[in-house]
Amino acid sequence: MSELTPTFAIVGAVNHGKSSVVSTLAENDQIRISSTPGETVECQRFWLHDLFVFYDTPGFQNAREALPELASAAQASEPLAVFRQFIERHRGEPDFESECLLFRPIVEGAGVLYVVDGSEPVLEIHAAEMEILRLTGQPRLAIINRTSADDHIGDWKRRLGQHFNAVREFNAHHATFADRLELLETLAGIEQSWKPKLARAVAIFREEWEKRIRECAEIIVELLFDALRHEEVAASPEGRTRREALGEELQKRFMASVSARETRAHREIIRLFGHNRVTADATSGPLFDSGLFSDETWRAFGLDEKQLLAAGAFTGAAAGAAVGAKVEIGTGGGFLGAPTAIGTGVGAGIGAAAAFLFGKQRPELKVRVPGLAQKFKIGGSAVRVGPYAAVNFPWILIDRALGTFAYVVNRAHARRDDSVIDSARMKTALDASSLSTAHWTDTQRRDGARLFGIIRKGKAGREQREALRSLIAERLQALSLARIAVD
Amino acid sequence: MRRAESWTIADILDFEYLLTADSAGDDDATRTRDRAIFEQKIAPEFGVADGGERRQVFRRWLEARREASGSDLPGAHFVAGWQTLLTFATLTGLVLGISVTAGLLHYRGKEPVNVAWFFAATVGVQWVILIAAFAWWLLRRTTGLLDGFRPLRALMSALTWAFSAGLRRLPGERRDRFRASLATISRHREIYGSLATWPVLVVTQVFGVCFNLGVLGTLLLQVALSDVAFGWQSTLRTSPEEAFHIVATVSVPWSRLPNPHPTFDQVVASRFAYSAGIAPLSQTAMTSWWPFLCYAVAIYGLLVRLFLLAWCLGGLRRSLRGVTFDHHGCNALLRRLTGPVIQAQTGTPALTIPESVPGAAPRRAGESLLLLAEDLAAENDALTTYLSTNLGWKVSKILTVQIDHPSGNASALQEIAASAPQLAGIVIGIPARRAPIKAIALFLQKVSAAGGGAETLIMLLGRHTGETYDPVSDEDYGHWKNFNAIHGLHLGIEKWRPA
Repeated sequence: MSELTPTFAIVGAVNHGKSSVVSTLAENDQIRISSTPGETVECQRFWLHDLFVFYDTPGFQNAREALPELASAAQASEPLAVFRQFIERHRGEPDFESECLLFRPIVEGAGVLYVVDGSEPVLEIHAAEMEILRLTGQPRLAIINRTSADDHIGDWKRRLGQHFNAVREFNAHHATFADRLELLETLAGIEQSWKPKLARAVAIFREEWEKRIRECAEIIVELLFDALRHEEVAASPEGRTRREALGEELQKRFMASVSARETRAHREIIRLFGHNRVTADATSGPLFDSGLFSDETWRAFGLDEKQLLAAGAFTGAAAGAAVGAKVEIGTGGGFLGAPTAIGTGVGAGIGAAAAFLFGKQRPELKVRVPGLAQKFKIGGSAVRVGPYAAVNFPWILIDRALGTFAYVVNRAHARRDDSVIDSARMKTALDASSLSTAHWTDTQRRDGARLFGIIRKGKAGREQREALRSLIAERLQALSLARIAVD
Repeated sequence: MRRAESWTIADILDFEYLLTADSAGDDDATRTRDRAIFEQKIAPEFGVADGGERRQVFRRWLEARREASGSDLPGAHFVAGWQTLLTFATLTGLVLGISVTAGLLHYRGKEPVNVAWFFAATVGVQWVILIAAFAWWLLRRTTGLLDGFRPLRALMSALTWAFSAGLRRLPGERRDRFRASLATISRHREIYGSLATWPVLVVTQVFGVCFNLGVLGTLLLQVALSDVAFGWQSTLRTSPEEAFHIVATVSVPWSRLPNPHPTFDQVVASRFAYSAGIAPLSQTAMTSWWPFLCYAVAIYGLLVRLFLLAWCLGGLRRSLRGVTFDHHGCNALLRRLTGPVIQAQTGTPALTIPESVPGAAPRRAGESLLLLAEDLAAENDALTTYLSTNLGWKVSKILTVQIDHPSGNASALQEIAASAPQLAGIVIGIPARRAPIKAIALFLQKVSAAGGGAETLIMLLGRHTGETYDPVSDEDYGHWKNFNAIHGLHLGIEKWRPA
């Protein structure tokens, strides 16, 4: 590790949320945090290449006793030497064990990040802690965290202002990506020599964020490809009754497979953003009560009839025009564009009718039983369910995935509660922020509908995958900038 | 400079197979294993991986995983299957070429071998197939017609069949993974493009090349070792001039080579008619056709096939080079390899909490001393009443103490020591939300020591609201009980219960 690596010791009173701040900064919800005071018993080091290091320290346990011994640092030419002597003097003594541990990174040159709980009153012991930290002479930033509704922030700000280079409010339990970056930028401000490396660290975080958004878009694109092309096939038995029974079985199998695929995608999104205590709604919701194929889901998610009509008619028109143009080419253009115009009209009509008919209702999954041609096929005939042609299906999948994305980017890593994403609630939140698919522009919806059509036909290649990924990544980017209340 | 990493289909199959296996495995174990691979085998060579180095990084990972997994991966089975198909295509191509040519060159001196039929059966059929294939591709690309007609997919199934012969011996789970990895590259055109198509096309072109070699070899052998005569015939009134013109046009590509085609006189002299028989035909003219036929097969058959084979191999190579390794499985692997952005020191110890110890001896009624933390109100009727009603302790005096400053309570400790013999208990009122820290433990130990035989009791209080206190949460109560155990205080702990 280079000598110039900005290093911080995150210190503070016991149970004021140091580990929560660390957890949020490091995007790591596996860091031991509990409401048990003194959970952190040793310094834990975190680092980003050689760009910065921070230490999660045990809290102050005996600050008022330690202060008199350290007071001489105020007059000392090298204040840290006094702290070094303190560590030497009390090595192995249980009374000052925590103080020795938390002073160690500071005497090695670390800056101080003092975390206080703004919902607790300022006590004499806190005054002693602040004074001790002032005596170190190291660059210092105070962070006012808040663990409950009580508000003593005004008092804290007054007191902290006398001892620290900068004071910031930072609610570790509601911090977003932007808050993390702001905090790092503030740290760069308290010591000039740290600025270049911390600026690079901020750039790495931004790049990483962009990367994750692209990766998340890829997860959603893969889900769409798989779900829109999925089919269940089984050899057709003899007899109508047996075929119907098999058809029903395949319908169930289809819904279970697609739901499981959706669950996997949501789990991957959650994992991508480093959350280990969050479960996707899809994982827990019963298939037909609140799951992907429930009527409730189909009512709440996706586009409304009008929007489906516009997108459906457009893609239908495009397909119809293409067929018309082919007829025209075939006939050497002898009909002066009439086939193209007719094709456009018919296509638009079919697209609009499909959108109108299926709109917000969940259309039945079709069972395809073998026809006359298939009966004579070598190798036997098959009963098939899927691909699912419902026009709203891909939009519902996207909305649900956007909900999971919005949840994980807005949930702080300091939280230690296990939670299940309520997708219906997230949809309401997305609508409130105008970020659900229903709020996409007409062009975005048409592009989406066109791409879904190509995917369904099995003709999508790398180009279409890239186009869909860009479209979704752009929406995720917009979503990541919005602050959405997740609970 | 880092060397370019080349991937084969076998590599990609193995890679997908291992990714599929990992996605079903234990997350933590997979992350730890991949991180170790990165640190030991990748980082020393490449440093921190970024998108541009994915091919190399994943290649190293694959090598490391292959070493650990042994040899039973789908890539080897695929190569074996493909080689089987190539061998099959080579043999059937040669056998078909030889048989077709041997059949066509059947000559017993009564009628010459029909040049036009020979040309049509050896070169013409190939061109018909090629043109039909191109038309099919064009139709599929531009219209929805012929979507269901997929000869390449049928050939792909043959390839799968060839390579699944080896799979049948494997346990079901592994066999499924093998098939999943093959399906990934054949079905996911949006990820792997036409990668799965090229090996099948290579097989067809190898067949074509071998067919032409068979034809050419048999033709040359027949010409060298037996007596073969060629002629042309037509029911139509085709003039020898027209026939010569066609032959000269066909042989334009090799016109600079020796004996590119029969001369006009030879064409005239080799026209066969059943009514006249073979006798009037010139022997020289009839044998002058074979170089033309050899050239035709070599150029229109073999050379075209070689070109297509090279194009297919080039396409395969281009497809392999075009793989971007950016689907989710790859992204997840890269994250596992390079680790989290911020790394954390592991193995830090957790706080150990001993078993709770029983509180003090059974309580006796009497006088008590109430010590209140300095952040609590000094006058407290509610608390004194509570102690009297619930514990039978009459509060004789209330002292304010600095509970987090063990050495800062000298006068209070003196007073405790002085009044201890008359006391039934000493109550220390502490806001339950205060963090129970070492300093408080030291203070409590001092109080306990000063109190002698009097019972020392921690009275936890909720938030002060008006004349009374809020109830104490079970969570806070639990923390103080743990604190009592951690520091071996053996004190009684009571929590405020509103009336």
